[in-house]
Amino acid sequence: MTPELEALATLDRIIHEPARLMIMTVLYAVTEADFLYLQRECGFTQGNLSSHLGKLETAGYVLIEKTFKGKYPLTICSLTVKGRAAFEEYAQKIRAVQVAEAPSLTKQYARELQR
Amino acid sequence: MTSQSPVLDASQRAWRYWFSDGLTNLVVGVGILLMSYSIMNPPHWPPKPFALAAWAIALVLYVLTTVRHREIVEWLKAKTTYPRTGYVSTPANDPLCMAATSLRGGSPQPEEATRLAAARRRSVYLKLALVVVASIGMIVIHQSWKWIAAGIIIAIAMLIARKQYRVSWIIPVGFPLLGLYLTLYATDRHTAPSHFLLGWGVLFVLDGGYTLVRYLLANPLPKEPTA
Repeated sequence: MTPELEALATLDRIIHEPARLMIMTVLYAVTEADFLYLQRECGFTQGNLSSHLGKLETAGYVLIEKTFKGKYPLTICSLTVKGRAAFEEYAQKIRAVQVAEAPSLTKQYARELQR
Repeated sequence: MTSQSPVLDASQRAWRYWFSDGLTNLVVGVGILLMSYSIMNPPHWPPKPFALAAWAIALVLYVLTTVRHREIVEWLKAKTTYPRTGYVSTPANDPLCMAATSLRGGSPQPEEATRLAAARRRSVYLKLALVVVASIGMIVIHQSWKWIAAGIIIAIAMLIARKQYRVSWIIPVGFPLLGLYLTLYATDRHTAPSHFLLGWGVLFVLDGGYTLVRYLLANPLPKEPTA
């Protein structure tokens, strides 16, 4: 196996799941967000978001804190240092898969097939 | 689907979310109204207790809304916005600049973040330059048409700000109308600037109030507490 392919084989499976990747992306972009904001941004149900956040928390990627803003209770979620580093590593690995000339290559391949 | 990095998109959405309820413009508008009240009603000698107290309260409240702007907006958001659509960390500085910094070192599309941050900086400088030009024009020009010219220039600045700060059409349309009103009816050139300021405050309050009403109608309070 080439090192490039091996890098893909070691992709973080916790982050690789689409729903968790969405949560990680939002939390990477902001310092912290509450449960309701994440739910609205990602379009998840409460149960779905709770389940994925639980997995991310167990992996040590997300910190979940119950707090108050005025009298309103908030469930604040934020990325840990470990989570931030894991997301950056994941993004680097995924970037390696980018195909810059994908449309033209596909057209060329289609032309060759027609011949 | 856009070609923009999802991280940058999330960052921009969080930035715009801060302005989505209109509370920022509402507080800014109230601050400007208080300032214009202080300017329009300065204390005279011998001082009348009620007028002096009203002037002092307006001045203190104006300073408070300026110095503690973020805290006041946060307090209002805790009562209206967070229970409805949730909380996300406030944009401390320029989130795009922060994103550009945090995305350095081979992580997702740093050049895109830098380009967007530069575009936002250019937009801020352009807005500031336009407002400064309008302000200088109001001071040095002694013709009545200066008000409509200033109104149009500030309206252009607000149009540039519109997308970024969720400004409604009330402000870009209102400033030329305010300028036109002062051009036609302002007779005293000493009181006209404070009237312009008063109109400025009214427009921001109207914009903030309108955005807040739209936000509240679109996002009713959830019946069950989340999480």
